[in-house]
Amino acid sequence: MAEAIGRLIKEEARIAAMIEEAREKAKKIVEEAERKAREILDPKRIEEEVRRLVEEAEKRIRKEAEEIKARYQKVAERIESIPEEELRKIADRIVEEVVGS
Amino acid sequence: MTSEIEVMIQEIRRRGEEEAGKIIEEAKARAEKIIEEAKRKADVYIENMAKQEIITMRRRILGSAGLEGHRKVLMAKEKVISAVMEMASERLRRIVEGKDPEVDYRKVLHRLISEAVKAVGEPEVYVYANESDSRYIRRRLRAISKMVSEELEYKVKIRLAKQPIDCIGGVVVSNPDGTKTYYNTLDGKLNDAVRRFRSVLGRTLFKRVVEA
Repeated sequence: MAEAIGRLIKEEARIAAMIEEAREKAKKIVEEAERKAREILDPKRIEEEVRRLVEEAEKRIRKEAEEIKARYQKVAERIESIPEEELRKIADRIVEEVVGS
Repeated sequence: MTSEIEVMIQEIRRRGEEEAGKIIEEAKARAEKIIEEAKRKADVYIENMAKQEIITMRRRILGSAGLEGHRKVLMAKEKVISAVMEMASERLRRIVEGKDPEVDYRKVLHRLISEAVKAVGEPEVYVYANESDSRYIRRRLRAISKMVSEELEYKVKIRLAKQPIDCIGGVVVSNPDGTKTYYNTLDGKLNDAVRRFRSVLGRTLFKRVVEA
């Protein structure tokens, strides 16, 4: 009987130690998460991330700007390539208006 | 008795392990929540800071590209209008020199003089013309005065200004004290016509080309 109670007490002590160990481990898990959170919220990291996003956006926007310029350039080229004959007809209409014939 | 103790030991062990597992799981869940919350906050900061900067940058870069492109199109239009104007000027010069069989410039000049004298509306006027037209007007001054008087149904004394003016053709007419002047040069009429044609070109030719 005394031996059995001794085993029981021993087991309880072992379990208490195991729970204590789990609490320690849990504390470390939370501390590690808090450390990671501080890292995530570090102003330098945020600034760096903002800069990276802005740089990426700038590349996209510059590409878009080139496309806009190219579209206008195409229009300008089309205007400049209006056949001379067509322009001459307009010039003749203007002359008719000027001389009143 | 031994087996009862054995059962108790097993139960203590089970409960203990269960509690230890629960402590770890709760810690993991809390850790996950802490990290998720930090990530969410960081994303909000980043988005707010980057968003404003990107909006400003986008407006600046695309605005400038649009302006540059628009300027190129305007320049192309101006180039075309200048070409049209040059062609028209060239043809007017040929007309003035009598090299255009379709138009009798003398009739045109007579009409321009008559219109200008009528607009000034005085019995005595000075006519300004270029060198070549001045020579012609000088030779025909009396006939022109008579013709204009008949047209206007009152007697007009037309004098030719001593100094010729620089223009393709046509005339400028003033009353003697210079308080009334009517510009009826071909150059002026050409500018007016081109100005009117600008909108026509914009509505028709340029629109067609742009939409092609």
